[in-house]
Amino acid sequence: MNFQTIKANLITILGTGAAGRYRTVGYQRQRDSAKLNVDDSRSVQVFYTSGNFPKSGAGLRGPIRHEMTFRIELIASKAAVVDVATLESATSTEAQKATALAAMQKASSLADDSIDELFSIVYNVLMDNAELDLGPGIVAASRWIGGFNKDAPHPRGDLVTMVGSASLTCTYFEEITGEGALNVDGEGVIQPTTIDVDIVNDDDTDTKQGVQVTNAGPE
Amino acid sequence: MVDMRALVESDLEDLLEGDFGLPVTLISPAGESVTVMGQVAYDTRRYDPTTGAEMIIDTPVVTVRRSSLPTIPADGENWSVRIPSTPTVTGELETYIVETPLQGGRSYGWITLQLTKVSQSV
Repeated sequence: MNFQTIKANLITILGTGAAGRYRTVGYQRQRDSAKLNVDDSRSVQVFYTSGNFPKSGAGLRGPIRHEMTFRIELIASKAAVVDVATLESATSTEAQKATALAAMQKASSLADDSIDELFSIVYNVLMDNAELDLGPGIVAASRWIGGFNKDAPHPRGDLVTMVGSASLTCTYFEEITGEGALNVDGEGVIQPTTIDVDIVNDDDTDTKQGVQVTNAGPE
Repeated sequence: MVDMRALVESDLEDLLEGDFGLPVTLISPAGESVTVMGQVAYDTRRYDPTTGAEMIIDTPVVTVRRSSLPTIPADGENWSVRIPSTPTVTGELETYIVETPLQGGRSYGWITLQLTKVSQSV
């Protein structure tokens, strides 16, 4: 269906726009790890999450309107930043170590900045006018990111991890192409069958007059 | 009559600084270093953010006896902690900082430090 093409295009758009600033993941992971999302390894996961097919008279015989929602999940992890070399040096004075600790940048502050920056990048990549259609091969309508939410940092762990999510909605059509079924042995797809039609005109009895239909099997 | 406080303190010495103890170096906000024996847990935890995907996160935790410290860490202060990277006395030391609020133990004389990784400033 066309939503699969749009999903693939979204992955391409996000991947092209990353420029080394994040990783694009085109499916929903079962598990993730804080250490896999540190600094520029932070990740953007995009996947189709729901669709609506409003019933209409036009859709009974023609293309069906598909209002689709893609979920975009952002994960960023950060360590604190400090002058580690000074803290670890055997020759550092107490005053130097105190200065290093006083200048420390806390991980929770850096993680919060990182997830905000990541959302800013992703929003600008996806809402760029150049990507209005979510193409190629598609001219989607009503592309829109309607909001962004982020979690509080997890209170435990050696890396402070922030998670955020946004929903991208758009509208496109789906063609019903039909789907072949498996045969009784579960093999292949049954091909369209040909129907032989003969006119039966038995003069002996009027009860046998009519149309005889024979299923001649696959073409 | 048994002095329960003294008994607890003695138990803490055995539990935290005994055979399973590891050297832990704390650097105070004033830059003063002290090395004591303490318990180091290299656990990994799982939690569920709103994404629906489970997150795995390492949670190194140090527990030391308050009476072994010349200065007790307080919330909001910038402390650094160095622990062995492996649970061996001779393990290479790794540097962390204490960013997470401190946890309990004042009644019974220990303090728990949850550690945060650090990267080198430029």
